[in-house]
Amino acid sequence: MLNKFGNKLVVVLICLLVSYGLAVEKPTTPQQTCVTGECHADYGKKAFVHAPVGLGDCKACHKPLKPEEHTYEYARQGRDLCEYCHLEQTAKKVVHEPLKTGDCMQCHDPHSSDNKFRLPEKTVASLCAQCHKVTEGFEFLHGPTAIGECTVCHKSHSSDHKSLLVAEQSELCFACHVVTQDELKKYEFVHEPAKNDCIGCHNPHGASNSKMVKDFAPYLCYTCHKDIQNTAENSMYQHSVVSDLDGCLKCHTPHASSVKFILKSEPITICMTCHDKPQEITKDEILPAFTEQIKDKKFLHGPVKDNDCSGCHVTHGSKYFKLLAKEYPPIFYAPFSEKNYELCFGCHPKDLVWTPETNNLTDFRNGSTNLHFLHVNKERRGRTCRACHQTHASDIPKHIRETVPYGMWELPVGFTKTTTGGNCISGCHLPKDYDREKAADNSAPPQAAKPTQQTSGT
Amino acid sequence: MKFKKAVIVISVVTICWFLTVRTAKCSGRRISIGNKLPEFSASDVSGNLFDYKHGSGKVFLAVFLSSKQENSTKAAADIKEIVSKLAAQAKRLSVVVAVNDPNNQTIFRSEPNEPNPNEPGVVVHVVADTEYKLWGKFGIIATPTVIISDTNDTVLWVQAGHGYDFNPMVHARLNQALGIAQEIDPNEAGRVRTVKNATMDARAIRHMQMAKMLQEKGRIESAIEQMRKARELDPNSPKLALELGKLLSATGRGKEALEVIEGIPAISRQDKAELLTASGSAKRQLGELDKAEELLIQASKLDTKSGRIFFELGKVYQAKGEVEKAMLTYYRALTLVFGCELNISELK
Repeated sequence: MLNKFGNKLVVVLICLLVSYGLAVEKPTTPQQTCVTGECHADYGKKAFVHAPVGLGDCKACHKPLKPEEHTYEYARQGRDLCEYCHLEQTAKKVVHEPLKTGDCMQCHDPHSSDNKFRLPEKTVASLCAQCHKVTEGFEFLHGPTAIGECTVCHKSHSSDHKSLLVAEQSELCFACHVVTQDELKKYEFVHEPAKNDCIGCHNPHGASNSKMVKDFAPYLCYTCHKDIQNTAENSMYQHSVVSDLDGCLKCHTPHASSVKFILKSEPITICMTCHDKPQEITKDEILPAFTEQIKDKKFLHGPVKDNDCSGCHVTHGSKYFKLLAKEYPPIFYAPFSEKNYELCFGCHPKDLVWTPETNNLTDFRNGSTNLHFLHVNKERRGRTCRACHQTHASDIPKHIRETVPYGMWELPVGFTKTTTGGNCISGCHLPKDYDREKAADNSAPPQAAKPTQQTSGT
Repeated sequence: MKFKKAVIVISVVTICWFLTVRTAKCSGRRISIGNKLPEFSASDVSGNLFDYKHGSGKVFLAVFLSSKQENSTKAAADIKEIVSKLAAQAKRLSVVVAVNDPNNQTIFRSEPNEPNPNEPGVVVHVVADTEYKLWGKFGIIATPTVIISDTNDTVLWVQAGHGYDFNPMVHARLNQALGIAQEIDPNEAGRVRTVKNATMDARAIRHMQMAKMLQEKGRIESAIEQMRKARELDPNSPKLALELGKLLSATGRGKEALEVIEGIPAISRQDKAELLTASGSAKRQLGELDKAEELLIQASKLDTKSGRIFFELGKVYQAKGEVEKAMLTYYRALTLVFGCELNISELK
């Protein structure tokens, strides 16, 4: 047992003696270079070597502190150490954080490395990711991020642009997205962020969605469009699609359009994606399909004809029924007030119902008697627009209704247009004519209808 | 003879009756496209008489506005903007704005009142139509209404309301009336067009652009990877194939480069020169020096200002051992790169 232990001890002692004999003693006087075959040899053997190391000029960065103890200190302190030669790397307005403190060795090996730029990591991306966790949890990554080429967009050391970008943010995205840039120039209506602030909506590194937007509509849109959010969430009458996920994109395109409100299509086309079929407003109220209301009709109301539902309706929310833009009486009779007809007066002149006599303002006149004034401008039971007019479409000129709901009764309007006027054989009053050129005399009492046959009854 | 007279009388009566009935049927309030715009006189808000008579040879823009309506205010702003952009064409345009409230003229002032003779602006006549005389004459039913006639006083376009397409429609119709060239068919001006940045073509170009940026940074392998992605998206694009071929050729992968660029239909002179250069460079790498020389000489004839072509040609001569020729060709390349004649003795 002792013998075995003794043998081992002898072997260890021999090894110690050999290694001591072979070991190089640290020099105790200043040397010409530190990179020799015996000392610090590995510094010069890697693929990328710092120039002073390659030249054996260690004094460029180190100076002896106590040569007899083989201790050294940096030739200069802090950022001066590297800036002495690499001043241009920190010369721009925005400087990378490690450079400010002279911590260049956080990203570079000062002597040599097998990686380009003497990085401690194989790729730029893996190095950056040590501090910048910009892709965590993302399913979709921006092209340069995905391939780990952070320096496509960012400078490593310093830049004249914020976030160390290689160019002004408003121009940088267009360096690759040239098609978008060209297209935007052709459009009159461009979404404000699309002009110069792509990252207002997009995360430049990636996101959990393919378009790499920072959030889904409407939440993303609401970050700027607070007024729309307020309307959409607090209006008496709300449009359900606005609050749907990505609802905004059902009507709007995010970058640019040839028309205002950067609509993605003609308003009527957009509206008909839903309103071509009946829509349930509440359990008790079904909105009929719009397409049925205008199908094969001879006369369409101006906005309908112009494919523009927004002529009368607002899309985000309203305090008026049926998402109307302004006040419009939902009833047959209403005391006359200008405010009741704000919607119609949005296009048609108020004077239409304020002027008793006119020869120009309207065709609905008997001689110069303005029949709009006569019907509407009444203190108590003024006829509202809907009493005679159909708002979307009609088979009768001037958008006149065939019948109008009056309680349980479908009251006939019975309008016939003539070249200089017209007549109404309606349920409202006795048959009356009007003529613009020669005023009709409706004062004569109507002749009683002759009974066709007297029948006796019990 | 009597029969003849009877036929003439009947014909005349029939024509008169037909014309009367036709006219009556057309007498709606709304003014019709293709009809002559009615002549009129009206005082503008400054008290000056404005006469619209046929035969002036000017395009006429009539705008009916209601000063208290929101839509009219928006339309006024749009019209001002559109008209202000007409610049040199302005002298061929006559604008009348009819407003029904004389007490509120802020909606559309007569600007500019003093046109610069060197840069004539549009003179806008604001007419107070308080009694709706013009309104009745033109058959207006709603505001804003815009009417545009051509230089023959024929109504070209009538539009009521301030819809989503107001701006592009007015713009296009005015251009049409004034004979200003435009890319859009005026009948299609209201059709909504949007940015199509997600097409395959757009995506391919994005990858190509990124490849160029990477190439500038010396990240050639990444650049090639991006160009390959671009080409996958649009394999029929000669531009993308050429760019990939150039990158491969620049990295010494002549065979691969040739596989990519062979058979590319080069359309422009510049593309043809670039194609020949990339092919020549690839051939040199494959050791086909005579072919490389031939291709590069062809390229140099198409693009006489490319230093790159002469640099590649120099390499070919150098490889062939034709030192004198190589030096002269390199010299030519340097001259083109630096844009000045170099002192050849210094080079030697």
